[in-house]
Amino acid sequence: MYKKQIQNFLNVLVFLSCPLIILQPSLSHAKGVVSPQHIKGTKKINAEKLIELVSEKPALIIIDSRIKSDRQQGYIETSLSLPDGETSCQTLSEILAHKKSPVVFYCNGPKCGRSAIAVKVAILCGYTNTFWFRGGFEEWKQKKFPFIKN
Amino acid sequence: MQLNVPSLRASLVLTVFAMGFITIALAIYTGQTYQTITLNNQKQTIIDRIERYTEEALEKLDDNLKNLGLSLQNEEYFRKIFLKRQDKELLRELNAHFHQYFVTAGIIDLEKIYVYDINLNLITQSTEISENNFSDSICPGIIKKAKTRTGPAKSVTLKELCKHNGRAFFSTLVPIGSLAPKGYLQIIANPVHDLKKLDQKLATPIRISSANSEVIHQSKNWPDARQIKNVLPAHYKLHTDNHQYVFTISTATNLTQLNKELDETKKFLIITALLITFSTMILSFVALKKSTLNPIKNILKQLSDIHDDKNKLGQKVQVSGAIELKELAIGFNEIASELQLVYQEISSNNQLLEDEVKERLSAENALLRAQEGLEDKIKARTLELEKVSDQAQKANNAKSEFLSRMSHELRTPLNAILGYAELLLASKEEPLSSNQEYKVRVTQRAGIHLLSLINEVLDLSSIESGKISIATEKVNLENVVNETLTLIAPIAEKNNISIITDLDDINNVVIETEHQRLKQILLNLMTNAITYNKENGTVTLKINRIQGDKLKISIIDTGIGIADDQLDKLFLPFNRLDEYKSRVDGTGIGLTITKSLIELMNGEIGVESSAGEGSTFWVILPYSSKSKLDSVAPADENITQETENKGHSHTKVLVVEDDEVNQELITSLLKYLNFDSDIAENGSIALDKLEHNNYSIILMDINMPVLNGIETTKKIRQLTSDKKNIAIIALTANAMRGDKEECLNAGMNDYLSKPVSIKTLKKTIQKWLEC
Repeated sequence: MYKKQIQNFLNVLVFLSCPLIILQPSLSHAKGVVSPQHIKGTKKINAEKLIELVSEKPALIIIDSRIKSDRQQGYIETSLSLPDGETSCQTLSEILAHKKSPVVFYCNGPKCGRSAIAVKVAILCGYTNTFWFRGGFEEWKQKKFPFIKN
Repeated sequence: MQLNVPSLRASLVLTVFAMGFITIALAIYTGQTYQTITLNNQKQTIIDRIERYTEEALEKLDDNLKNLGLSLQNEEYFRKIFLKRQDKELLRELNAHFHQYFVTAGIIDLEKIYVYDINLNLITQSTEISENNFSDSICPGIIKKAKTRTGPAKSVTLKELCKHNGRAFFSTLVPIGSLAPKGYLQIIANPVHDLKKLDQKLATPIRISSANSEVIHQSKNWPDARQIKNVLPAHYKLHTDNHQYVFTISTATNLTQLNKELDETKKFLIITALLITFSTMILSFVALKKSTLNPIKNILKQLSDIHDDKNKLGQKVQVSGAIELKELAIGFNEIASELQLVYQEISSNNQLLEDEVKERLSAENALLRAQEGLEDKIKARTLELEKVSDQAQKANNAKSEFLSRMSHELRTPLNAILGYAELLLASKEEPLSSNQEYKVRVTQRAGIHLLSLINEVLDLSSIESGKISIATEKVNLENVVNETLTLIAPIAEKNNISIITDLDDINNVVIETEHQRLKQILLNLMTNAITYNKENGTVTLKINRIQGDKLKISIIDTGIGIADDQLDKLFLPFNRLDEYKSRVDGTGIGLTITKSLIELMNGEIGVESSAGEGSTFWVILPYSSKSKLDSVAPADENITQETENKGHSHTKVLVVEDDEVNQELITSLLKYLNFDSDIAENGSIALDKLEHNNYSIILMDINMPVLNGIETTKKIRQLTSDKKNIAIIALTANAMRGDKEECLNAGMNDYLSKPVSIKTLKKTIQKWLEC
């Protein structure tokens, strides 16, 4: 009961903050804001760590926070497309089995704020095993890791 | 060495031309260098571009291959048959894909697809036939490299440009199951296919040639040999990852446009240089003209003006142009004004000078006229003088003639006087009383004195008129001295004077002179020494040889001497010592004659005297010691010799004489000498008488009417009979020099001068009768 109340509250909060969150990238783009170096409650990783995580944690979910058009340039194999705008406790719960499921968020790169937002949402929604691949697709590509392009 | 400095204008032209030349040369050089640099830059740029586009193309190829590989491994079916190792299925799948790409896509020139397991062991490979089929694996290097990887790196896709069998291949290795690789796919393609399109990117034809220069690909518009000139070639060598040379990508950039631009740039540079040169030249000229040439021209014009008209010295030159020329103009003006002052002064001085010159010219003309007059006068005077000279000569001749005639005319009566006086004294038949004898002797002495006077005057006259000359005969000095001493002895005795002789060895001393004249000189001097001497004085005759060929004769007396003031006048005619004038007889011309004779003999005469102690007269005569006496002239021994007056009765003398007094005198003399005589009044009669009578000798007068003595003698000598050889003795009053020679030349045998003494007549007749 108590938990449910908190859950609702959070949902309302997320709902209320959505317009703000939606606006944020554009604001950050407009201001040329770079993603923060660290986000509390998540673990920042690089491309190699991601590869390692894949073998360490076979249940690892990789979420591509970019919008569709960006994804068409290519994406990390096995990653799921969930643009940050669509990221919510609801959508996350549909992908992730439980709150402790390992999950990695990435977008185009450090200048892209989408993965950062998605990570924060996931934290707010209570996911505890989140990873933030800050370098994103840019770093992936640069380090010649294979990606899928349709 | 002096340099020929050109004019200012020429210097400027030269300078500007030199500058222009240098500028143009620089422009050309710059243009050329610019072109070279530009072309090099262009080339480098092209090479850079080839490199960049090649890299881009290969990256694109890599992307394509990766995509191909990744999408293949991502296929569920492929992954299933791979994981299940259904190799046949896998091969079929590969070939299908290969075919799909090879046939349809055309984007890649696919060569081969290999499938490896996780440990990079080859599982299978495509067998679909591509252009090349290789038995061995292509580009194994990439596998070797992949095998060394660990951890996450195993997921990384790899690419490689490799060389196989001399060909280039591009291979890409992608993991199967990318994040957790289960195996690998190696996709190999021909990179040349992707590089063919570089020509479009580079906008220039390309050529790809293999390492062994084999042309792999060439653009359609690759230039042929003809066009290659206008083309900039650039070559980019492509190497594999392990530094193997694979092939060369060459471009041939058409330079037409570039060259055109470069040429235009060059042209622009040169034209600019030319423009700068010409504008510099024009500007320089304008500046030079204004600053230098015009001011100099002004000064030169002023100089020329001044040269033409000195009055323009006052005009000022315009001060303009460069500072130095302004100073020059100012200096010029100053000098000009100073010169003007000087010129004015000179002009006024010149005027004065001109005036003076005019004056002088007129004076000179006057002088010239005067000179002409003078010359005329001189001519006239010369003519006058000639006339006077002629007159003088005539007068002199007249004088000589007069003297000659005087001599002749005086001698004729004197001949009679002396002759008869002598006859009177000599007559034994009618002896004279002592009183008579004294009177006759006085008469005779006076006559003799008169005769000597006449002779001396005659001599002087002859000398003055130059009629006298000294005969040259060899004279024995000793004989002359002896004769003189003999003659002088009675006079000395009479005057109580002792004669002393101081003679060198004069024996055989021969003088070439005239015997008679030398004797005359000695006699004169000795006589003077005796006459002008003291009572009981001495006269010394000293003769010595001096200077080898000269003879010095000194006559030293002990008389009263001669005062210094008298010495100069001593040898002048008619100048006698005052003290003796009253005492001594004489004409006063003896010394004059003596001096003249000595000078004619090339000798000298002088006198040294001191009053009261006596005088020394010396004579220096030249003589030749070499000359020898051919025949010793006989001494006049007969002078004192008494001869027999008788024994001549058989002899008949023809006397040719026109003067009656003389006829009588000679007849009387001949009679006294016991000669018969016959008289002929003139030559004609004489010839007549000679023809009819026999004569032993003829005494011939010279001056006669009808036929004179000379002509008569000549006619006698021309006779055919023996009578032509008769002795003819001239007996004439013609005592002038030359008369004797004329007579002898006419053929006469001897010559006697009137008045003739009995002794002389007798001696001469006897001499010719004996012959």
